[in-house]
Amino acid sequence: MNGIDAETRAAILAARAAAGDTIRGWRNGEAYRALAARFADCPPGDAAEALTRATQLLERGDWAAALLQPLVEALTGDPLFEPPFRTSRDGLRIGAVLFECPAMTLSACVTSAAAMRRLSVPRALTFSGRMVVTRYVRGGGARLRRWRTEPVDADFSATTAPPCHEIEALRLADGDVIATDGGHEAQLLTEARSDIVTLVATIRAGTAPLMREHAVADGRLLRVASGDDRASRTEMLLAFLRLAGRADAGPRFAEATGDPAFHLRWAAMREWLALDASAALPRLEAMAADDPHGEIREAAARTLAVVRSRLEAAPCPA
Amino acid sequence: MALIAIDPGEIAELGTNVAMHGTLGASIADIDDMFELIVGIAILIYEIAPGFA
Repeated sequence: MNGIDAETRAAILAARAAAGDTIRGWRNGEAYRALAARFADCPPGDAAEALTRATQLLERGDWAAALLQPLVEALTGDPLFEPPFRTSRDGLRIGAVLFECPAMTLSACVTSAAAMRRLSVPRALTFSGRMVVTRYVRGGGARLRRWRTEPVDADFSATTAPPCHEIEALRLADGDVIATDGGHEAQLLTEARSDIVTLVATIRAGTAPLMREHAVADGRLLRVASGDDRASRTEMLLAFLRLAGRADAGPRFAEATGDPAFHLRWAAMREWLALDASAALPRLEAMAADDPHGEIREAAARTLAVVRSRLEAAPCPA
Repeated sequence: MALIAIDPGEIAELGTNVAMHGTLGASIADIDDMFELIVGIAILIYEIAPGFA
């Protein structure tokens, strides 16, 4: 059916059944526990402290081989053993998340120099909004192009966003450790002579509210996405409440219209108006008057006329 | 009293369009962010209202 014969399928299932002990042993091993202990008491929300610890970790590279050794041995013994990593592969790179904790995510990645030569130069770069520290275990002789832009502020608007500008590129050497604040810094790997191997610590705290994509050619802003999964999850759940006709959830809509994320505030108001305009009206009036974001004040003011007209036209309850 | 709903097409949109989290993947740490977000919502909705969709 899917090209896997019965014998191989049985071997895969057997490998999975046997993997549990190996993975438990790996997590109880010295290298894994030392990694966990390094971040265990990192104060929640303290991005600077997490960044310091991650930088100290990545300034040395010897721990990585020790961390992976038990899993490499398991793979040597059984090629069907599946290491407990989330992996990602595209035409340019293959990567895996090695370790996650509340303070940071540690991943490893191999970027193919051959693929880099074969593929066209990217036309866009992303300001991730996250603080990351990268150890170039193998720099591949690559050139690291770098850009900067202004951080997102409370009144960020795509229509007035400044372009990013390129700063001096770096030629990478094995063992280089580079910290990047994705709130205003972005980078692209180019011109690698051999494959690039990286260890990357992505700090969870201090993430900027928005991710931004800019054009390589002229630095202009191309696209914006939420940097916060919580805001997107709330947005989708409010859409569900509206579709389910849950007018009794008014307090949830009202709460979201006061969220720090400006795009969530307006998305919540849109959903509320599309469910129960009478209940939403007072909050809409308040947003038109004093929301901190200019685009929301303007959109709320334009929408107020529509809403008032509809409510006035509605039959008066007997 | 019947609810009065405004057609979403009549509600102004912001000049700044912000896409869902995960649509601009920037690193290996972003693996499956979008997938996990959507699956998480789908599971939650199914648990709240099994007959909704």
